[in-house]
Amino acid sequence: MEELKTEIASVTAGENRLSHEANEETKAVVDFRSMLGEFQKDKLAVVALGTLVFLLLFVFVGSLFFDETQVMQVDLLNRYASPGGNHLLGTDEAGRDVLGQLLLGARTSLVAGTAVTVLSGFVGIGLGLLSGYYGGILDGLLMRFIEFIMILPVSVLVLVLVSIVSEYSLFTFILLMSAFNWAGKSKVFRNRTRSEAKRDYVRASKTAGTNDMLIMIREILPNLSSLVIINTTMSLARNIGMETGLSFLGFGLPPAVPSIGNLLRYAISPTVFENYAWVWLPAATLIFVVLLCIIYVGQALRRAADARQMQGQ
Amino acid sequence: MWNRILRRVFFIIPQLFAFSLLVFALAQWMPGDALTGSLTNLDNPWYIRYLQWVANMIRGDFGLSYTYRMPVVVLVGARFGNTLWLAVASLLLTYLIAVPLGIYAGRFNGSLGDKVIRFFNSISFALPIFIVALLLVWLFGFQLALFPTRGMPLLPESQTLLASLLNRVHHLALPALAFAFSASASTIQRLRSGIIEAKQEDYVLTARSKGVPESMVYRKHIFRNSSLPITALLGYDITGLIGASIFIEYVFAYPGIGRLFISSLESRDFSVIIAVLLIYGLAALVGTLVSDIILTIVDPRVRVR
Repeated sequence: MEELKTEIASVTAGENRLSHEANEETKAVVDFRSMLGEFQKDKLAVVALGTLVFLLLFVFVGSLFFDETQVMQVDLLNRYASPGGNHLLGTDEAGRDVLGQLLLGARTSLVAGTAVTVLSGFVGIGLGLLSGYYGGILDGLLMRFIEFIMILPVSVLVLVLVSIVSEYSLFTFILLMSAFNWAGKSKVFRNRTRSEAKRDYVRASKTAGTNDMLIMIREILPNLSSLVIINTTMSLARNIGMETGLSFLGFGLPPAVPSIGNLLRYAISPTVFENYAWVWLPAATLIFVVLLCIIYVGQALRRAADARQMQGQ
Repeated sequence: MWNRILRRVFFIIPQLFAFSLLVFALAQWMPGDALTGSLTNLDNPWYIRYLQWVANMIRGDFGLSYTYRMPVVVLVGARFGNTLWLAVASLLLTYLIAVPLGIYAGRFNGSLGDKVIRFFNSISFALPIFIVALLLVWLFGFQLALFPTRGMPLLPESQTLLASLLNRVHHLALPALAFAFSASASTIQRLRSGIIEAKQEDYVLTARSKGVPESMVYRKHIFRNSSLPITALLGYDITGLIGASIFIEYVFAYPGIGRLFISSLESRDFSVIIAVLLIYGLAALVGTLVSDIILTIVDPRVRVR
């Protein structure tokens, strides 16, 4: 949705030269190594990246200490135990350890979010490259189709799909979430590929007889590397948020599987919300900080790319 | 220009058609007969059933709800008003917050206020909307006990109009604020960038050298040009509003269409699911249509003779 909006804004504002930092399309591409150099100058961004790495380690290493079946063992005598002692973050309504659920759930959410990003990234970038490079009728059709998809309320459709396919594994769930994500990416990459394909180095390669695929992968794609990185970072944040949101509504992972969304579901009940804040507050804080760091890093990367571009690399 | 607008308006017909086909296909996937709420008609070929369904819809028959045992139209109609109230209040609040802050951040670029605004922007961008909603409920509903956190009870008829209105606003405050906090981020960012760019334009320099006071420079020239992306994208905002309203109505137990949608998903009440899906799709298509029309009208590439 955001990608569609930025594109529309850039089209209308193009004549007035009201391009702005959210516009990834009309700016020239930047070598990502120099972008990283610029990134390092932004102290807060480096801190964000560091925090993110630390939290990832915390989640992935910490979850090794917990066994899923043991954590999800219902222990009614221990309901809503306060933090401390055996259970560092207390227990929830079924007596299950909150810290264990938090770490295991965060791990699942992060893995699922990353998987969706990678999957829709491959499809989106791949289709975008092909469509932008070859052009023609297929390109036109694909763009119409993508525009149609981008208009639809995607979250609603994903919810409906999830409820129809009632029995699903984590893998199917990831597929369902990726069902519409690739469209926006496709369009962004297709537009960029089109402008790149008109450049001299591509024409030179074609004249030399280089295979089309090689041109796309070895020559055009590296030039889009800054776009790839920024786009992937932002969609990672969105996808993690989407998975958490779906689980929160009850249409994500099954309740027996630990997840951040499931922990947050408890916040709906007023008694839990007020009296047993340790159940949902750590989960909310963790996901908030993780997403904040990812987004801040993404914005910093974008600023770094812009700064480099204005300096003429 | 009117040519383009007319073409855009007509373009919505194939869009509606494609969307209805999509919904029809989804409905086939659902067990039972989602389109009429009954178990008849399964023998006819699919195109007959499709036309039957469209004909029914035109007559206002959206089938029966399985859980509530009443026509879907009645069920949805009762909630629709609530969601409309919420949508209007949310959008109003969003622009009320975003426009002043965006202008301030753009005008006083680099100041402390700008930095604070940008910081809060990053936060609201990062937070998924339901977490914002939960935090608001906790802060205002429980800790400060200022606003109600659930539902939308209607006052009895005997109460005055003002009392009913105040009651509504009181219950709308937190949900609308939750949406506004989350949605204002992108608007503020866009407005701020637009103003920063516009500040450097030649016509601003000209106006200043003519002696035009600073505030008028901003009002007449800069803001007019920067407000374009915002007004034009209003229609696209509607699609975002749809997704957000589902979460907000869920957290606040607000009796709107979003809440109905979730409960019908939980109870597998497919007729209601289909009907709500159609409403959402229609809203999204109409919203983008409006946006496209506005964009066509204000497109600087189109010169009015």
